[in-house]
Amino acid sequence: MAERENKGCSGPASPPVWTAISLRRSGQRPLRFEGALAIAAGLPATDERLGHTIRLFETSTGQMAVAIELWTQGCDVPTADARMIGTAEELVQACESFDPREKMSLDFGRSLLGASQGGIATKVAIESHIDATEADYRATVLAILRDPRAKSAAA
Amino acid sequence: MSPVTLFSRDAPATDYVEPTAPISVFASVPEVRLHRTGQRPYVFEGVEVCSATTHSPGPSLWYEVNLYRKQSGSLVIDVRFFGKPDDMKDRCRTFFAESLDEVAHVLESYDPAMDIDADVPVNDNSVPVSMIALHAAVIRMRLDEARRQFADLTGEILHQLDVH
Repeated sequence: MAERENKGCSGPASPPVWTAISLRRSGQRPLRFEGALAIAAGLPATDERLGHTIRLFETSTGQMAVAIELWTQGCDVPTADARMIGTAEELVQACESFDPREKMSLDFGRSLLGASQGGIATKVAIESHIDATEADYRATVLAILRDPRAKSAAA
Repeated sequence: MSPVTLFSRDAPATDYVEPTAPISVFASVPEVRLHRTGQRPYVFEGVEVCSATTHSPGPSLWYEVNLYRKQSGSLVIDVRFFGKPDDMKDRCRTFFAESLDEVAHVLESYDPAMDIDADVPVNDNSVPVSMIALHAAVIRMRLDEARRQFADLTGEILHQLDVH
């Protein structure tokens, strides 16, 4: 399993440099604001699971924004959500309410109609794939929420 | 002039090209030929503004969206649906817009349900009820997947265009 990447500001606090940021949102127009990246964490996609990234931004208006993306290996377009948050509780809610299980597809190419041993094996493999993706995502959420920069920024 | 867009089932989308220079700076504007399901091809002179696809090795259906700017300045949205199993038909649709905001509206209001065939064999008495239920479940899964992929694609295109 690849190591969980965790990037962000470190060392003594320095005044953030605001830049124009545009964040993808599936089915919607992007979320735009002036801000700076505070924390980023995630895992790349593999054959066994989807990848994900969680990024937390400080905005020039004193709010925060969270961007969550789910990546399929070999696909350049993620399932994405982004929203402005004002409190630590809203950050927790945003991370918890993004459910990777709802965003993942079953491989119905080898469809349920072929209810054979192979079909059952496929279903088991899909379940394993979904479980691994969700477990990884929840671990990253925990890492983000435990990060003192997230706590202080959302305070 | 030669056509720049061909109907290609498996080829990934071309790289995104920033919509920068006005179209009039091109010495010759290429001819674009778009396939349309159930209609004659739509042919015009223009350039690609951006494109994106949800194609990946796993899922059995995927979408591709290409946006073109015609020489007149209006926009053409090319939406393509591809399905791997034999019972899913590829579909190509073309939409028109005068502004990026209209492009956003077209994509936001597109309903992928029209790309999924509801082929439950309800009129065949020899088909057991359990099989009909399985057919229905598969259709439902395809519909969910098509909607998810098209929403992802819409988000990606609007992000590329920076529409707000």
